[in-house]
Amino acid sequence: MNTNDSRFDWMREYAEGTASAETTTMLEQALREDAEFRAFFVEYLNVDLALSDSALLGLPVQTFAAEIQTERKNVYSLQWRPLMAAAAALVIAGVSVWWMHGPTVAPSTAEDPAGAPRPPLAVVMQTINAEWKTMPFQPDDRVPAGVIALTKGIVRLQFMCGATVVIQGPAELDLKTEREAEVRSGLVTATVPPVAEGFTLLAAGWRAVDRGTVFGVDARSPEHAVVQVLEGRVDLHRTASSHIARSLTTGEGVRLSSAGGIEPAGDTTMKFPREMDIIDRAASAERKQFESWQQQRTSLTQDPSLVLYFDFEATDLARGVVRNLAPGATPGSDGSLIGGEWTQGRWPGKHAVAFQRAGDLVRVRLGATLEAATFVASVRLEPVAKATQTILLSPQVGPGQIYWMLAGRNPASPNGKLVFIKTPEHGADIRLASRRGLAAEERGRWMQIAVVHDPSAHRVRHYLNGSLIEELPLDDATPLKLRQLVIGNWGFSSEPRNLVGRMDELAIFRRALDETEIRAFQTPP
Amino acid sequence: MTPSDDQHHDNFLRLFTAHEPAVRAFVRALVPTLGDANDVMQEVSIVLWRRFGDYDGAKDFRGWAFGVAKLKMLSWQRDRGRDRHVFGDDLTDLLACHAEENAARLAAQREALRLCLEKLPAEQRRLVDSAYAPDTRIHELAQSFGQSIAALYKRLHRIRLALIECTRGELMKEDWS
Repeated sequence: MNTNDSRFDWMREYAEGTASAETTTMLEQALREDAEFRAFFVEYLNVDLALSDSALLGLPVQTFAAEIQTERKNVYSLQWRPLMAAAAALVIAGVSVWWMHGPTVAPSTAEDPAGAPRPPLAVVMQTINAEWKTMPFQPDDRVPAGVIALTKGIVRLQFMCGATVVIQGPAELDLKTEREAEVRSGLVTATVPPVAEGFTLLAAGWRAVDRGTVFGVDARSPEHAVVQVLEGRVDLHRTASSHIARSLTTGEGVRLSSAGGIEPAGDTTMKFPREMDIIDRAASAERKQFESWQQQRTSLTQDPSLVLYFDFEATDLARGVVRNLAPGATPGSDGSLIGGEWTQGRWPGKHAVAFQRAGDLVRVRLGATLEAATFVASVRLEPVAKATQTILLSPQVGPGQIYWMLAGRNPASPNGKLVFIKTPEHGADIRLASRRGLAAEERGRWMQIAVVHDPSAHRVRHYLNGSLIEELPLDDATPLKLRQLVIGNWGFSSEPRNLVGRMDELAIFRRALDETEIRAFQTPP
Repeated sequence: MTPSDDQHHDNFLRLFTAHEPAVRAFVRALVPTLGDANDVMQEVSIVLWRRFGDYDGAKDFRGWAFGVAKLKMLSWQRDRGRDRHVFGDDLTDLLACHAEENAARLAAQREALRLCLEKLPAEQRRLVDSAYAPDTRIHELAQSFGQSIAALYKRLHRIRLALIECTRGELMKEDWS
């Protein structure tokens, strides 16, 4: 065949997804008319598919027969490979730095306009009553270059070089590199370990360069900045100069004007926030949260409509048993953890299950048939490139089966939507998907998701962090037959759909909870 | 799981893993892009599992799976057809017929592709590997290869055509007409 004729371009555009309606119509006509071209077209798409498979496996194309053999031996063994392939693709794309520093970027600021991730310069360690003028960060978020601004509260950041800063709002900090930031306003204390010597804070046209130290910068006034050494030594330069204008040691403080003036400021040590205070305060706030959550849960587990409640605390860690604490629990409905690992939940001391690989799952023999039902889970997704992640499903066949997942179009737009699928008595599965998906920054953070199956109101509702994000009509009253449940995994495809993340709470009620109740289930303040 | 559940599960797994590549290829022949094929395949695999109870073990699993895939595909097309142009049902039928009749040949072609990929010049091979890796952003790839996106697409197209040519040669050797 002459592959130069324009039909082959239409075919290409069609397979790329760039064909216009007009092109598609012309291609359609050509395919109808010419059987030979049709055969070629099918081959073309076949090759396109096979190439994507080989890339997906991160291998030179393996024979498909051999692949099936491998898959038969262990259906899960293929499923971690796409992560490697995704990592390889990133290295090829020249953004390996981002990957190596850990994937927890808060991406709405962490992507440049072309969509490429920017490397993180710092990690958020603690926040206390922080209110943000710029996009909010939470502990564990990665912060890329750029300005962060607090209207109030305190935030502790650790730069990638090892230096930490405590920022007391209102304040504005411009992160420039992993060892340099400009204090545009507010109070900042820097603690610099020997490995990060040379860490620099800029303010009022000056550079304060650390020489093994704890020091503070007070930039609350627009005209001048105060630099105070709490411990060690700091060299001061004008911004554009390498000449050391002054060296300060423990207890010394100076007022620097943007015009270049230096005056003694006396000892202002007391006004700067101290790192240990912040760490202690944050830890005690977490303890309080954990305690109030525990109290709330004690009353919650009295609810007779609860059929399953896993707090992942009442567990036999060694044997992988997850106790079902629901008052209405059927005997033998404790969960079994298969694969997976115990890890930390929302607070220090709280347990969670970490699902890492395909095949990590919790299996439950629930033995419940539910008319109305509410499912609530507290999860933290690792921000990996995965189109679909399973929260839970009932692995039986037939009417009344369910599948609850987070699904995106493809790995490039992961975990787009909350999806609840139900098999009715007759006809095709009913797919009830939220239109809105998770924002990119929601990955890597603890969140609460819930779905309410409410056949008497003819509705299915999806919730994210206590807020209703989607309400969908439901014209099927088939009861949910939850003889068994599988949590965190779905193994029947070379396309991995396992959950990659943590779960530290799961509740199933045999009634439709309303929005107030869902909200009350949220993490206590 | 009760023993019968286990058995049911094993049966499904055995059949599904054996036929999944063929079903995926069948779906790929009927939808525009790889992303679409993945979407549809996701739905298809759920339905196959859910409806496995209806499957008559005496019949050909692949044929049954193709039937399920085609229905799923048609409903996908109807949804999709509301906002953009998709192929008519008559053409979809023609393509489905062709893909089904030639499933074995298409499988052989996918195998032959392994040899053909090895014959590709290193630069082309690198381009294919990176273009088809999950998560690849085409504009970044174009940048790293120092080309425009349009030029990159065309280059990939030419490589695919060359690969088809090569697989046809390999298939001839194995007596596929």
